[in-house]
Amino acid sequence: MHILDTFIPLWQCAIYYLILIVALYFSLNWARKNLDEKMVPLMSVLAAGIFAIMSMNMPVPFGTSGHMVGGVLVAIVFCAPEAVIIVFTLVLLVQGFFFADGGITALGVNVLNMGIIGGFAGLYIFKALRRVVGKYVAIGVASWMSIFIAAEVVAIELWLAGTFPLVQGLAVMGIYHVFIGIIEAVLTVVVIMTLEKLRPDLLVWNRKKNMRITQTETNEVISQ
Amino acid sequence: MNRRDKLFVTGGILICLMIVVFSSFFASPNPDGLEKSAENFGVNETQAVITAPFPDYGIEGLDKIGEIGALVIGILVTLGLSWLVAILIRRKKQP
Repeated sequence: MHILDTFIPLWQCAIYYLILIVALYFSLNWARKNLDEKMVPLMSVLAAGIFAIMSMNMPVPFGTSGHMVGGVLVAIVFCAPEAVIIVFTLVLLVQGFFFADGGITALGVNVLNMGIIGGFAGLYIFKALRRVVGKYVAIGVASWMSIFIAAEVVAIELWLAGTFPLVQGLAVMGIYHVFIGIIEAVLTVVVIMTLEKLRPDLLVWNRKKNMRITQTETNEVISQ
Repeated sequence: MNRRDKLFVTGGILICLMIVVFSSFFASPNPDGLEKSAENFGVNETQAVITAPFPDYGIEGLDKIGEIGALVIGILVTLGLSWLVAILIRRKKQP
């Protein structure tokens, strides 16, 4: 769901860039307090992995295709939406500047949809559901919802931009992303399961005592 | 970096390479959800404001190899850039 240049008028792009700047301010503060040396390789490999997986378009009904986005994955690995904002700003910069995938003027809005909304919605839906349905089902549902919510937000943004009609926009974006969300759900669960099995120490929810702030986050997620 | 982290990075890069080789042969050529919606509403794909060196993940005249090459470059650039940024913004002091 990379929005291209000219889909959104420049003055609206400027507003989304402002949102991005504010989000990055908070994210850099988070990094200064929480991103330790051990997480540097993890963050870089996740960014590269997200870049790679976005090339893998899988067919979905109605002659459409979709790929994993990975916002919820990063949010859950770090237990922090701020990490998602940093990773997606970087990935979308590379995609925009090198591959014309997603417009540079639309960088702000694309980070908002995939990073900010994907990260926050994913992490907090996961936290809300975790005790009710279990860890992995919660990850699956949160991943699916993050895609669906982001797609509907895109429909609204493009309506505000005068590019899409509102009701049909919501309808078609919704229908396509019902299926694309399933890809996100399956792959996010698989990757987290694999990490939990091979490198549980990398998942912030398994870390103890080494970070006070993340610790409270972790307790919230894990406490039972 | 300890041995396990080196293994993690190596494994991660290998998985990325496997994904892009696979996707350059088997990825669906269909438009994605947003592109398809734009098609439905007659919104044309337009020229990007900057000239990207590898538009649409390809290198001109190199077909499949170009596609894999462009994606591999993308993986390495993303990895390197993220590493650099992460080192610059990470926590410097112990809590």
